[in-house]
Amino acid sequence: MTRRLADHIDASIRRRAPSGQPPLRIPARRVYILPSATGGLFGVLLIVMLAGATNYGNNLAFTLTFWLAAAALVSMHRAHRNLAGLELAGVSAEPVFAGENARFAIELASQARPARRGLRVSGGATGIGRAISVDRDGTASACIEARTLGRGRLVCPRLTIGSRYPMGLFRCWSHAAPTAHVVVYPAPIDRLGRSASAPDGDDDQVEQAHAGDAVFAGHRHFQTGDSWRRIDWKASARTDDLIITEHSDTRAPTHWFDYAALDALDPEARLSQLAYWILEADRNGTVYGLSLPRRTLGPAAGTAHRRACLEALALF
Amino acid sequence: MPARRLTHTAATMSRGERLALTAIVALICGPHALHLPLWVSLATAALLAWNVLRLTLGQATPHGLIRALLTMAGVSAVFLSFGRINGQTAGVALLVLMLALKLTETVRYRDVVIVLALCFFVLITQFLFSQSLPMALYLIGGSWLVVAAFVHVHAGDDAPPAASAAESVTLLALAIPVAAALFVLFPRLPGPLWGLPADHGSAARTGLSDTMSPGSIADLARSGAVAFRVRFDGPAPPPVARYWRGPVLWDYDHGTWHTDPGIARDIAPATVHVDGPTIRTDITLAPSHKPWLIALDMPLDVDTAHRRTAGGNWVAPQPIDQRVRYIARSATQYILGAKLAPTARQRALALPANGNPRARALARRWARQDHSARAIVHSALDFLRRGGFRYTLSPPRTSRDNSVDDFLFTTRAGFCEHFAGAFTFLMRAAGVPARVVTGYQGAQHASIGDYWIVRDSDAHAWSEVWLSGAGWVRVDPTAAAAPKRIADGIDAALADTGDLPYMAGGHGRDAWYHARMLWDAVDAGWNRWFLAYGPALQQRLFAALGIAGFGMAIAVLTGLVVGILMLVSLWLAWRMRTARERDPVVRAWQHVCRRLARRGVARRTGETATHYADRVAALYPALARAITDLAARYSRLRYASAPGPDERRDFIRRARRFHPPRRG
Repeated sequence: MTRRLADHIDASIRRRAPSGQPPLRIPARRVYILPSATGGLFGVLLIVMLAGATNYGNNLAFTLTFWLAAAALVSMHRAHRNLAGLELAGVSAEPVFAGENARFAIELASQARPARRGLRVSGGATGIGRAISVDRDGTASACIEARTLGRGRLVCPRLTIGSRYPMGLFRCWSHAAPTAHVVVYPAPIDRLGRSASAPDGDDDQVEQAHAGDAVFAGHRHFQTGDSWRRIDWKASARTDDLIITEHSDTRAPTHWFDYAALDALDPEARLSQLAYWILEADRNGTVYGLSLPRRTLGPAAGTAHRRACLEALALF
Repeated sequence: MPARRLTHTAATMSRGERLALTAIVALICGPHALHLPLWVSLATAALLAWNVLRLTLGQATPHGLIRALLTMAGVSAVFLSFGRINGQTAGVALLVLMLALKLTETVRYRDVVIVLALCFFVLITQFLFSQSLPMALYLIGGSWLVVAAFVHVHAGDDAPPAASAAESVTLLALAIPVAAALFVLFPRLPGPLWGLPADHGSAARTGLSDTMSPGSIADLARSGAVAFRVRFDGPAPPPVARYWRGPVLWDYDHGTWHTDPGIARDIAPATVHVDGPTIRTDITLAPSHKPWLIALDMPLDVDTAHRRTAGGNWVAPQPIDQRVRYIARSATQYILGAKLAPTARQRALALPANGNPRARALARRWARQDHSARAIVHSALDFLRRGGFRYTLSPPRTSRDNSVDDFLFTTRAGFCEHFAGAFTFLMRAAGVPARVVTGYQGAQHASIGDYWIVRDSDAHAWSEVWLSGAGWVRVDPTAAAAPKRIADGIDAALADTGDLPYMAGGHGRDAWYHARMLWDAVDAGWNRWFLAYGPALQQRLFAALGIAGFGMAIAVLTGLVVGILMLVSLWLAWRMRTARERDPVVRAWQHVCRRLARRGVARRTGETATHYADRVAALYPALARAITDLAARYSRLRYASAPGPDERRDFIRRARRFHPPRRG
């Protein structure tokens, strides 16, 4: 009975959570507040102090007791106002591979004059998070993580924004369900155990063989897994970062990764295999194309192409 | 995100926070050093210093075994020092030691909250020892510190301490109206609820005693403490009429005057026939730990008293352990006990079987010479007036069982208790019913404010003799020997005023005197309006406000608190409102952005007007021209130097007219 009631209440809270495209504003009526364990301890303390004050008929003791009780009541209203009107300015997330945790960056904003403090954003697989402050007309960002299971679009989990500010006697929270998602790429898994992009042999040798014919395609930042031979030291010296020269090899045969050719595997495994090859090809700076039923991408090279290809796989 | 932040209660405190907490504990416990034994203060200071040292050196929390041993050592030391671990001083000593010890293992959030809660508890125990005005300042400062610590713990890692301090000031300031309503209207139960510890008030001042032996009032008179303050409703009576009635002593043995507890059963309170105007007085009495309500001359009624004794003074149902304020109506012309009951007469003539033979012989001689009781009284007063008696605070010692003889015939030096005791003894020996009245005589007018101060040094004892037709009549034998005592006060009558500490600053009306009087005025207000507010005064206030009973008081209080909190909430809402932009140009632009946001393209934080316009134009080509134009004008107005008023007005007009078409 109690369980059903609790479920019912939870469902109605869920239903009423502000939802939609950010920016979302937390309305005063959607801020929930309950005494915390610290609040309970404080209540017991006040009762003991009141009994002591009555026993000794001590007016300064009465004053302290009543003042603290009044401060606790005021802190309840203050706690409520700390959340009410808070704005969820935006939610952004970088694509991830299935199996990794997706990280949603939640941007909070406030137009109130006093800063909102001790805000903790939670949701998904995240604990209570780090307490942050939002100053007047300022923003602050929190991060939540969500577990990804398969490829596709992962909708941002329902967020809980809570705070115990100012005195920790009350736990104040509100929910928000911003419409935001992250693209989850298929997990790159090499089922076939052989590389389709590069010819057999040592990676570096291939690169050297073609170096003369390579056409300069641009610069990008160093990423883990890049060969150190491809670092453009002159360009790197001009920046703080290591710069990689990207070449598109006009003479080298364009690699085509074909979905249809992988008929030995089941569909999800094919997508994983394609993702693996795309990553590998991208790492080697190879020009490649992706051929899916009803859709073809490339041939091209570079980050944008890689992104487009992986996204096509994710949403296949 | 560090893993330790995953749950709220597992959060740990930084070293700086723990050092700050140690400082707060030291400040809160500090004033206890005034009344705790030195070893407790030193041990607490050592524990705190150890904590600071450990934190600065970055040492880990001491081992659990060491903490357990220190705890046991602390409890044992308190028990050995006080013979108990409860009770006022012992309990506070234990509390302070345990708090300092708890600090050594305070790492996690939960421990910090417990330490801060204990800080409030230490704060409140302070008031058991003193409720003076400086203590009120300590209350304000201490509460602020601990509340600020509470706020800082919950404000998040990025909050500056100054912000927490400011927030706690706001919280406490907003709490004042609610606290005031609670203070005045929260039903006050008359204490004590479970009895006071045996050592309660041991450090407090002593008032009138319920016994009188040579030296007892002289001890009291050495104290300059204020016994009570009084306001007269109308003109004050002349100095010689300023007698304040306290306990009446009926019984005498072994040199000590006292009153047998059975007196209420034996003798009914005497009737008073008022023979003149009455005087209304408003008295604020300091706690005396005795039930007597001191009042002028012959008190007819006292509004908080419940019983009148056989001697005509009033007593409260319980000893007065807190400051009380009451209204007493007194008569200065009256006939008290026109008829003397046989039991009362017997009691007022009783003397021990032997002792003081010379005094008895003298009294019997007067009884033989004079036939009327009045004449006997005059003979005795003549004897005191002419006998070369000296009025002094430190008379030579007298023997216990012949103290009256020693005083009358050998030492001839004494204080009021010697004079009153000896005179009453003589009257009884001569067959005149007599008793000793103790109380105060005199009053000093405050130079600031219309009130009078009566100090412990005004404590006095006199006699009452019963004369047929006149009832009990006051006779002050001290007045016969040292008339200046009654007319001009104790400091005028005594040769050795160096013994009166409150006179140490000199007799003249110098700056020191005025400073003391100013302080007394502040203290008087504090006592009268704050400390004296208790169950009795609250009842009177309820009656004046038309509040019948605690139930109604609770209802009124609840309504008031809810009302004040609603105002507080409104104020907070107003404070947290979206700040309105001053510049009408910016407001007009914000208006445009809001309209577009409703269409589904909200301006991103930090996005410039031009970028935003480009984005909108890309999404809604129909709006492209209008929004690009507006954004360009806005940028020009905002960032070009000195735009003309026409240009501004034009922009505002265009912005107002901007209506993006509905979606879909």
